[in-house]
Amino acid sequence: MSAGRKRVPLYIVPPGRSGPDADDADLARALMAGEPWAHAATWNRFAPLVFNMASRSLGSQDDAEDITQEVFYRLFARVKTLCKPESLRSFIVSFAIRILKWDLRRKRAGRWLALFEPKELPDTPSGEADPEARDILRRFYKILDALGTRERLVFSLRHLESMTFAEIAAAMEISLSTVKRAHARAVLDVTRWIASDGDLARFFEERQGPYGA
Amino acid sequence: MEREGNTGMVPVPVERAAEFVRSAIAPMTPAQSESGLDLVRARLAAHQRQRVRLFRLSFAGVGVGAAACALLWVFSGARMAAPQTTRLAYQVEGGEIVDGGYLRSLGSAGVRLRFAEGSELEFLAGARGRLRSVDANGARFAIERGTASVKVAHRPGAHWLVDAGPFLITVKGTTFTVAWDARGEQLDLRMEQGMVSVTGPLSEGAITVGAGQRLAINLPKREVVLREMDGAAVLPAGSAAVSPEPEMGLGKPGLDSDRGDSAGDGAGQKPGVRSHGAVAWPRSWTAALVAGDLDSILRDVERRGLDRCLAEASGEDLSALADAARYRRRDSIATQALLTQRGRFPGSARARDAAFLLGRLEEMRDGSGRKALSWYERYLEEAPSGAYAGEALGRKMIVTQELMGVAAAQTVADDYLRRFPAGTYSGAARALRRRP
Repeated sequence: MSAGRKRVPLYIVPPGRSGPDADDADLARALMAGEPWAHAATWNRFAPLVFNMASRSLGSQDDAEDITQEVFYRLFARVKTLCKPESLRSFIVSFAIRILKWDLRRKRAGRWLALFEPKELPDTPSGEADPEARDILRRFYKILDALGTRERLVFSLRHLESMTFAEIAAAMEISLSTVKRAHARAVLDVTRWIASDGDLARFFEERQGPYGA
Repeated sequence: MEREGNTGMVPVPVERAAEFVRSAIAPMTPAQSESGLDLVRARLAAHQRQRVRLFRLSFAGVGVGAAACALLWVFSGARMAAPQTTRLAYQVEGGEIVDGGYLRSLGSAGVRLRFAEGSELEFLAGARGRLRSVDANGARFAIERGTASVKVAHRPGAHWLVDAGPFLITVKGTTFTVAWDARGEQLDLRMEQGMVSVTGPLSEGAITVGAGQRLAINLPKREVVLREMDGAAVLPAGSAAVSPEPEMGLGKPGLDSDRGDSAGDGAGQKPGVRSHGAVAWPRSWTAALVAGDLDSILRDVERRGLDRCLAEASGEDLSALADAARYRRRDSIATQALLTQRGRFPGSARARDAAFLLGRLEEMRDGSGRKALSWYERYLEEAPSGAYAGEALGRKMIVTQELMGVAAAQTVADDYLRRFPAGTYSGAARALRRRP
């Protein structure tokens, strides 16, 4: 091969490791090789993860659908930039967090500029038929809306996705100490704001059973 | 109030709130999953089509550039071989040229300029203008008011320019009349022979006007109308308008879909007449789809009217509209877009794909399984190796099982596994085959 010639990476998908049987690394290699089954398999495996993360972070199913679609559209379009096939999962999570961050910043900027009124969140909680619970959910997300983008993401990832600080730091590409500081600020603000909303505070104090501590 | 968490003291209300949210937010439904994957695929396909088109355009651009370079080389060689001629000679009839190139009429008739190589310019009675410059290849003159008749002799290297108010008309070899109404800020250009290009306000890039066409531009009304010219069918400038409001997708210059009955337009419009929008042409629906901006596509349809969009949109835009409507669960619009795709562009790849997508839409409606099955079968018949063949066969298997039972579906499952052993529905097909 001449010195100036561009090397074209060759991805080989091991036989018998396709479709639902493929592990993450095989799936990533199949995506990079353009295997026809790879898109559906990747979507089926990871879309629920991204959707749930977006849905819980944003409190809106419509937005979560948009975010999920955006994450996978960009993933499929740029999968060849994935250096480590075995890191497909963390690659997707990082992608999702980056897009979530962008979406939160956009909405926050929009609110500041009064370009649009935030939706009444969440739009389709579905799991909760109880009107009071729906109202509580809506109020809680209004509190989260008041947090800064970084604080909100750290709070969501830590408390709604149960990620460790180290995982959050890696996914958000910030230092561990920054994560901890953002988390402390978020918890302080959320606690204070819950306490200042009598109904909300009472609901979380009194409610036991599935939601109780 | 507080208890020990993994990260230090986390207040109980925060933990309870988080637990409440985790329980209350519903997970992704199968319908959301399916429609989401469909849309991602549609966006990727649209993105791929755009890339192919860009590649073709750049390839064509390279070809055109190479041809232009070759011509330039040949032409410059010829010019180097022959000494540069002096500027064109001309004479003025019925008037005179005074300071600043102003053409002054000496009588009630207009002023006529005759050039040595055969070109003629005539300012009709009442018209005012200036001769700005003359060189070996042509001249540049300006119409400040009134009508001018222009006849430019066709010859290699001819370069004539006409300023009409804020518009610049570039001429090669042609015959036309051009009128500029300075008070009303209206341009009226009527081409008899040849072709010119017009640049100026309201046109992004040049508007090309060919023989037998008339271009009318009304600046205050932001109207640009380009239409065929044949006596009674010709309307005065401004009587037919192109909406100044930015619109997507439809009405790109030069597209067949970009015909006539724009807002405010109506009688006298001939089929095949093209109109140019009065503002910069925004992105197409396909571009909006690629950007994930689905709502803007649907808003655009609502603003323009669904019937008109269905009648005028290109196949690509119909496809983008159907995708946007499907994803936003506007099933009625999606169905109409897909049926229109099949009706207006029969035999095309998009029309074939529409059969599968119609099947998906029917399947989501209660009690429409048979219709869905019929569309899947039609798709598999029309496109046995199409992009959706695996999906169509898989869905056919599922619907067949629902409608006709396991035994009938097992036959489809066999077919599926034979053709798509690692396909998305292979697990379901194998499970179906194992059933008694």
